Amino acid sequence: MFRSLRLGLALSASILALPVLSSSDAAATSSPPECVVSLSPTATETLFAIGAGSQVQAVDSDSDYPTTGLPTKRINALNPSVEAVLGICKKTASHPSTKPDLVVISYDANDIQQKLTTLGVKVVNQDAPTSLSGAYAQITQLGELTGHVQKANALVGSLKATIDADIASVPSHPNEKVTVYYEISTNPYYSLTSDTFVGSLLKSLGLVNIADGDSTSADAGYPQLSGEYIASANPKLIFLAGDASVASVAKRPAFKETSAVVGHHVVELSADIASRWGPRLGSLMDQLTAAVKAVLAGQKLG
Amino acid sequence: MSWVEVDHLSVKAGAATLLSDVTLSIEAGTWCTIIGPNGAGKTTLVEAVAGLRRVASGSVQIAGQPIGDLNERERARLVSLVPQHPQVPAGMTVRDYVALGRVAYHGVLRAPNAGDHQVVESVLERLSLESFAQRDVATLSGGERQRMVLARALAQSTMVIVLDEPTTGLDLRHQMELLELLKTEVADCGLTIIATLHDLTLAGQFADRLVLLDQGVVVVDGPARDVVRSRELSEHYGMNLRVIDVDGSDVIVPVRH
Amino acid sequence: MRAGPPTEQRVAFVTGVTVVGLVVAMVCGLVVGPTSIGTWRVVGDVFSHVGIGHSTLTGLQSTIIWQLRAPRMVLGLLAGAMLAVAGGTYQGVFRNPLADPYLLGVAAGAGLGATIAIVDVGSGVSTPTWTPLLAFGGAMIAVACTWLIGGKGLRSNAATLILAGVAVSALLTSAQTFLQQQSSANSITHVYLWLLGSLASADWQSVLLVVPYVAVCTFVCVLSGRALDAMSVGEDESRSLGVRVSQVRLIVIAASSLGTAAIVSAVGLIGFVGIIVPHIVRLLVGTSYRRILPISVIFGAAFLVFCDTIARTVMAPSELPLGVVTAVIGAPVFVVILSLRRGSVR
Repeated sequence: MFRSLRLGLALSASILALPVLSSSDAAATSSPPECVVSLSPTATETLFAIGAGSQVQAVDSDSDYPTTGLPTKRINALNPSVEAVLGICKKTASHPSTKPDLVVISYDANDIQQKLTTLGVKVVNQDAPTSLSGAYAQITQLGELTGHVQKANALVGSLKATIDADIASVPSHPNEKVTVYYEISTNPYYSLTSDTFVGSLLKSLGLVNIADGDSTSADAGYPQLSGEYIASANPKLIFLAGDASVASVAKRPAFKETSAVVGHHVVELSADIASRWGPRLGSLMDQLTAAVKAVLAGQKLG
Repeated sequence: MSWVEVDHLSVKAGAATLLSDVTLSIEAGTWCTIIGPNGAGKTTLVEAVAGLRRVASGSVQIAGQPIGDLNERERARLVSLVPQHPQVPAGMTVRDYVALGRVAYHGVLRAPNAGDHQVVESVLERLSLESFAQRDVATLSGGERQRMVLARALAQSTMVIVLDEPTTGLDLRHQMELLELLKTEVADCGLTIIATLHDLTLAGQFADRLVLLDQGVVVVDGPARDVVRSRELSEHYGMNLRVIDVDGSDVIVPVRH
Repeated sequence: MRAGPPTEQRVAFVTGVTVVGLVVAMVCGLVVGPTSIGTWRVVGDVFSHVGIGHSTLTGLQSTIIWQLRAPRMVLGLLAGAMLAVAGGTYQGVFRNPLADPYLLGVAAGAGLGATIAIVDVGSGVSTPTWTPLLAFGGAMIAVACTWLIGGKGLRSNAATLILAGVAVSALLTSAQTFLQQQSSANSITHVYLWLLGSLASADWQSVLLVVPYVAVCTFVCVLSGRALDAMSVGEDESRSLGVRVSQVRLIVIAASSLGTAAIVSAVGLIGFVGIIVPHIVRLLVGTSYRRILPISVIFGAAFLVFCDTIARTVMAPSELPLGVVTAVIGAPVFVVILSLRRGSVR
């Protein structure tokens, strides 16, 4: 009976002592982190773009850009093993522990943020922003955390320049309303409103999003639209960010007569670029802008 | 006062009336059989006596206690039931099945005690089931199974046993064996039996008392010898029934005109 | 092996093997993992906590054992035990081999509660306080509705309860689907992953929250074994035997549902354990619930910890969904035992 009492007390003492142990760890990091784990494809792109690529020792299974130089260790971001993450770093003279210095996530799976934080690992949750300034802030934050502040600021600067130039290059069209339908998935049709990140980009280009008329609750940034609604809204421009192809859209009964299909203003966006908010934002914005300008100029697209 | 008193009992099911104002008095240590055409309400009546039916009006009293006021356990010590189609769960041994009869005494939280085991063994012996005691109930024949259900009811040590068509599915030899067994229990232990039987001859030969039920109403109620000879019997069965005395026993036969 | 009522020796043997299996599973739960920590060093660490010798583990390794693996193993024991005994109890009460602990609406209610927590309260994210709370509340409300509709009065029987459970589940699941399709893909992912069931977010806090429910409910369920055996002859007959059928049903369903709801709120919907473990145990020790229920407690605990050890190790540094592992391992085991017995499953 005494034995189990001692075990119980010892266990409780260990449980209570650990936060004390780990918080002393957390105070120590001020030099650039040697071991960074990225569980967000966007963060992976940013880290490599700001020169922190050599510090990244593991990424999530969806990270596929840049095409060369990514570490071989892959973790499923939706179901990561916390224990494995704790043991993922290479032991070197300057980095004797296997614990990462920095973990970037965009989804808190398996309580990973709380668990790693109490064990002295810095965890940063960079989930999808709702505006451009949010996206820039994430790049800046990664620059500060990895010791590449200058490069991060430069990246933000160049993105801002590209995007501002794109927005400015769209001729003003006070008399013409360019309606847009942005498709995330087919069957049923899911779109996004101006309350979302991509939606805010579309709005900045002067586009009128047909999904905006359909918003109900706070989380309905992604409403489902019926074929009838899309047909009657008659968008002039359609972006396909899901699996559909331009040819398949032209065959849909609800879409056949829309201005977009008739005027050849249907654009396929690469799913990767359209679902991330990192260094390739400029490229995304370029694609969106080119499409808008084509509509305004009456030119057919691809 | 009689051992089993059914007092102006009415049982309904929705709008239909199954039993209407049934009154019976059954003495201790007697065998009363309920007869009647299909749909007469025989099963309803015996289930009501066993306390398994919601009563619209009237009451059933056993040993002076209204069974509607008792909880399941108290009632189980007064009256046991042998249903027409017993559910026999495969995988149980015969002994365990018969031992279920003791649940009313040791309850569902405690194991049977030595006294319970003694009762079970003595019942198994009396009904010649000891050799089957360890076998799976699903391996028994019809006759053996019916004996086993009866054994469970006897293990319940009640003064009243209610049986609904206990001869169902048995060949003639097993039918007679079962009924003789019951007769012996009545004689030796003073059991009170209330049964339903569709075979009029067997009903007349084994019961002390017969009650003819038709459409939920008691038509005739009296000693077996008298009821089998009554005019009402033929009327309510809708056929010409004749009683023939064979070696002192009554045999009831239908006669075509 | 021929089918037939089991002998005392066979029951004792099965019990012994199951207990050994439990100990092995517990050891695996502590010793096996994606970061290799030597078995004897772990044992040494355990002993050092009781004052014998001292530990050779590093701080990090000790953390992994005691903060990650140990609570997860304990939660797995609790979840496996509770789900298995609840499933067995439901199978006994409803005399239906297809019954599982989620039958009366627990899954649908918990799913709806979790969806509300993730979509509305957490604005798209699963929160550690609200999700378990609303999941638990949803589960209990669902069972209460099922009971009110199908369980009250002399008229009620097993079939009406099951039907009421089906109706309540259908209604709540459709409400959940409605909420889900109104919300973003992100929320849907969160809800889906929560529904999948996982022990990965286990910590000592969630263990302590769950222990009282599981302890009490498991105890009540195991005690009901004798009553369930008596009720195997059907409702009318068991009433005539003196079993207070309505009372037993109410108590047993309440205990199973409460324990299951507590587990679901902590770990999501882990399927398969609740339905298959009692069947495996039944094939080994016969149809008496007096034996099935306590052995299911041990078997279920060992089984789930064993499956979780596999789920969190084989695909490191990722994890497999626990429900996948329980099915992949449980189904073949069940088929093997079934074919060996060549008997019928009641």
